[in-house]
Amino acid sequence: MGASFFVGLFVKNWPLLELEPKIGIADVISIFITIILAVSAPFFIKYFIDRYDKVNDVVYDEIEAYRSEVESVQERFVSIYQSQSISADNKLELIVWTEILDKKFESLVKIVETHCSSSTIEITQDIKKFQIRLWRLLTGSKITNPSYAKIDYDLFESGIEAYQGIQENITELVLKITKG
Amino acid sequence: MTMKIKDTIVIATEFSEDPGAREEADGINSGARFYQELLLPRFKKAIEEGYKLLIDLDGVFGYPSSFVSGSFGQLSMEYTPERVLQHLEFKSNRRPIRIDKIVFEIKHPETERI
Repeated sequence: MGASFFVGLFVKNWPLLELEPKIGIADVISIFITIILAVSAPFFIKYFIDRYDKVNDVVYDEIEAYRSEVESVQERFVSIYQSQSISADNKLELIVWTEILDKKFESLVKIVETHCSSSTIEITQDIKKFQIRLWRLLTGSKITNPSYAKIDYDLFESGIEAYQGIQENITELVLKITKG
Repeated sequence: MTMKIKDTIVIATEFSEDPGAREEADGINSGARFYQELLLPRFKKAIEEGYKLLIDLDGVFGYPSSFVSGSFGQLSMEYTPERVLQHLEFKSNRRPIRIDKIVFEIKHPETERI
């Protein structure tokens, strides 16, 4: 009986809130826009996330291409050191390798400058310092001297330090991009 | 007052597309020969007449550090890095890092073979 009383009271006073009988065209448009935004927002978010991932993939690919070139140069350098002799062809080969490395580095810088933050760009400047150091060692006056017949330990160690500097900064670059 | 560029050395056409090592004794197209025959006389003229000399680095496969040391490094030791950079300007559309390398050599000239 109590329940039917409340139902009766509810029906008697219905509608509790009066609806606005006049709805303007602006209200209709506003409702449609709200609905469209609500439906499309997840798609936009997904699109931008996908796009961001794709851009990062391109940057990572370029970093890996550069890292791979650095490793090739390092392998060649270590192999010449281990052979206990360096020929005129080997010396020429090192000049060619450093040139290829420069080309790869510049591709990397172009991508990073276009798609990454200024703090990320700064890391490429640190890589450049080590790359110039490496170029100085691998194509310097000591090694290109015709009487220089084998890579000595000092030069080898300095070369490895320069490689290490590049590798550490590449890792730093990857971490910086991953953190966003 | 900024100086105007009034002369240009295009290394690929005026010297060689294949720069060599540091000294004449190290082989052909050495940095020392480039320094004596082209760089030094043209640089001296640029200083005397108060203009900038443009160095075009394109058209060459690569510059060994020893070549750069025997030419631009030598110039830097003769005239100081500041004076050299005041009168030289570099251009490399294909490989801008070459400019960084040469400017580094001018600022830190190799005093002994490394």
